[in-house]
Amino acid sequence: MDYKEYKLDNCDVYFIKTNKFKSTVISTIFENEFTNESLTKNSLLRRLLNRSTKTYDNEISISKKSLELYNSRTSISAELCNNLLLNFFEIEVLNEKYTEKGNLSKTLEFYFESIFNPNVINNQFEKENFDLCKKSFKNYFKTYKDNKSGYSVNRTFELLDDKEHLRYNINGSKEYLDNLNEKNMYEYYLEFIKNSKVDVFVIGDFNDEEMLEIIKSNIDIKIKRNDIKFKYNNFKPSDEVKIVSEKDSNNQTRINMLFEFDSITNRERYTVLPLFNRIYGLVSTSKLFMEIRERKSLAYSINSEGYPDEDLLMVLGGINNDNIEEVIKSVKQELKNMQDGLFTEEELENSKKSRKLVLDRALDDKYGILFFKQKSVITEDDDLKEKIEKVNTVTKDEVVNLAKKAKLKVIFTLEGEEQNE
Amino acid sequence: MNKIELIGLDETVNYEKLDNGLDVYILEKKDYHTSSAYFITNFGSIDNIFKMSENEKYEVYPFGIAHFLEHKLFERPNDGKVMEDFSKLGAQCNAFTNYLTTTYYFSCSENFKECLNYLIDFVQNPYLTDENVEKEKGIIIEELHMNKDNKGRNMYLNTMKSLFSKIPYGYQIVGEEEDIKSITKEKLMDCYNSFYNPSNMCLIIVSNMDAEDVLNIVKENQNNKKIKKVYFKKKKYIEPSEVAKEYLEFYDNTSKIHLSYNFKINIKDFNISKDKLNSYINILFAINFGGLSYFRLNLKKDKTIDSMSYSFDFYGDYLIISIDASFDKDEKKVIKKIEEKLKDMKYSEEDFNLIKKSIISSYIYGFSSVDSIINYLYNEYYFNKKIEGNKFLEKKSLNFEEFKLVVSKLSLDNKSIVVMKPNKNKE
Repeated sequence: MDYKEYKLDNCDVYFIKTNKFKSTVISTIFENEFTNESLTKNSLLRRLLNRSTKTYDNEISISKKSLELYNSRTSISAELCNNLLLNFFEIEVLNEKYTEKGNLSKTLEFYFESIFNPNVINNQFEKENFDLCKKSFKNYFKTYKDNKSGYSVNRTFELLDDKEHLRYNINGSKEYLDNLNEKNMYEYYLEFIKNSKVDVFVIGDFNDEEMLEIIKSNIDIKIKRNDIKFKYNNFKPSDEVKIVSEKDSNNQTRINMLFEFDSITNRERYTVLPLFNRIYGLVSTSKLFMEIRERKSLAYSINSEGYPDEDLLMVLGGINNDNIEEVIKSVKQELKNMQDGLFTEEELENSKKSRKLVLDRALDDKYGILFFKQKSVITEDDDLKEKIEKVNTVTKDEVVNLAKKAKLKVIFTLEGEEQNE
Repeated sequence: MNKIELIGLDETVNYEKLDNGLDVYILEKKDYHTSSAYFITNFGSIDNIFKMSENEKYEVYPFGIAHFLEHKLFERPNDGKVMEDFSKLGAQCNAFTNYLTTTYYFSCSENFKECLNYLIDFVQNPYLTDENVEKEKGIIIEELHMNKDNKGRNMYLNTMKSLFSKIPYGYQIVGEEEDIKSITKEKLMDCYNSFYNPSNMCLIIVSNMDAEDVLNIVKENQNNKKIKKVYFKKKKYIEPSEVAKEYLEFYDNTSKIHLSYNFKINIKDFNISKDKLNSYINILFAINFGGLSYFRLNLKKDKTIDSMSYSFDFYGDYLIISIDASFDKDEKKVIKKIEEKLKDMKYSEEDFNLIKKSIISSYIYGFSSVDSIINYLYNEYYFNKKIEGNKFLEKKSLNFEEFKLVVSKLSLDNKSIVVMKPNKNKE
């Protein structure tokens, strides 16, 4: 694999050259800081750009074009990375060995059309498509509670302190939706293009010079360089623990416990936390799984997820209603055990092997390689190779010290109905 | 070893049937860092009626027993745990049960030989006690509760109930609570002794090692074991062609109405391969109810529906096609619109060729990561009980004349409609 970087006038370009895969992926990230209102606008914008373009002005013509290009279609997705909203515009195109010649350039033309040539008439998004997108967005809020685990995770984050970025729903809030129209959304689109920081990534088997020329002529001249930087939280989490419970008609109770790490270093975030998390709750050999599911039979599902960019860790469980108190007690006790160093060197070694496997698997998947490269560029974290090298350097003391920095912030339960034995 | 060239993909699968009957498929990926193996038994959730000798009567075992057995094979003597042992080897391991198979698998980037031996060994050496069987029941009942909270799954199971009156596709794979509670060590061992024989099993491996070396690991492992020949016979369900229920309605914790309009089609009516039939149906429904459908677009525009999609899959001798829609109100109107469109399905050679292109390219896209490759090979085995190399050519040979012939033979009279309504609509 061959990594190359180019600083163009207005954006940075990263090439990952490899002939390991049968296709090439082009991924452009538009990065912005956000408010609840801009998240709402951005979510609607993603729907608008996904659905039609100036040339392909409804979902059928866009589908037909994508079929013509061997099923290549721009996917537009977003994620929060602490203070940043990242919008990913991605397209995968089969290597020309499997298509006719010229397919790559035709696909890239279609790709840039999705970003830079929206379906706009008289400086407004075209009304019919706009109405369909707005309706689909309204439906998102209407069906928000239908997915219980997604809903309970979002509700748990919402209960974080005001200054925490992850308390915002990536799709914003329905209170802003009514005021959005074809005109102000086009204005937002222009701002979005003008004010974003843009990074371009390409992975696959392609000609560097040709690809660079295409990027220069299609992206670099249409944007401007903006200095938007990823920032870590630099505040001390408060001591307050929020405990909120809601009722639902489900069989199972969802329980989420959110912890925040106080004053942690980059090494702790990206190198120690994945190992701590493996021992504590991420995998099916973890302390939480073995104690709460296997030994005490209190849950079918119990695991923990780390959010290193935001210094957070969430424990998620699907449990019987009667077991809530017992599960909370056990989750706290297992954390206390980690803080007291009650885990073996062998467990730490196994967590290193498990982490290494995840990183090795990423090396076998173009999207895995891309993910770690993009994260390392945005957060200025280590690249995949450096990550693999550092795994084995972590000591037990480092894991214990990180555990000691975890503070419980939120307990959210979505309580199911009583279950009859 | 036989070489099966996957034409159009630049990949080769190596195949051998061992003396004990075990099918072994190996695909080399030399430039990959990780390897993976699936150890599959042809014993799934619908195989709960069988006999263990020719003269016996068929015995009925509880629903969910295949899945229960999957859980229990992870048990080791002296509190040993399979997942921990894999973790020590730097590997991840898990298992899943579906209608026709139970599959155990691992993924690793080191210690491949040890992992492969351990995968085979733990599956071939069960450790079941009355106590560990009893203890598992609570965990599986919680899994059942989790499944029952999944509206998509509830919709799917009700759809299967509406379509099949004999084959238990509409039952929970994990069983119902009373099934789970009635499972014993003895019943589990009956299943194990019948179905976990190498002659009823298959290994699919994607590895960065030489295929010959991998095969030798498997052979050495199997040669060291005394494996008895077994007799078992699964009860063959005689499934009527007609759907079980033409209309089924239920309430769930949902905020929208979800409708599934389904067709049960006997594949024996068509004299072509499953794969081709699959592709032709895909093309017809993509044009009329999917991404190329103005009918769907107009229903969204006039706010009759929020979304519409179609799906299709094989269940034994039947092809099931479903048109799914979600909306706020008036299912009768949506049904009427779908029925009008069914009488007026359109297609063109241009659209046919566009979707054909996409079918071929999806096949190639599927061969990217170790996970996607092994999943593809598993699916091939699941549906055909073998892996063949001609799929690409078959897709290439799709043609408009044959498509038209399939469409002309397609009868959509044998149908069921399933409607899931919000609990709040209950009177």
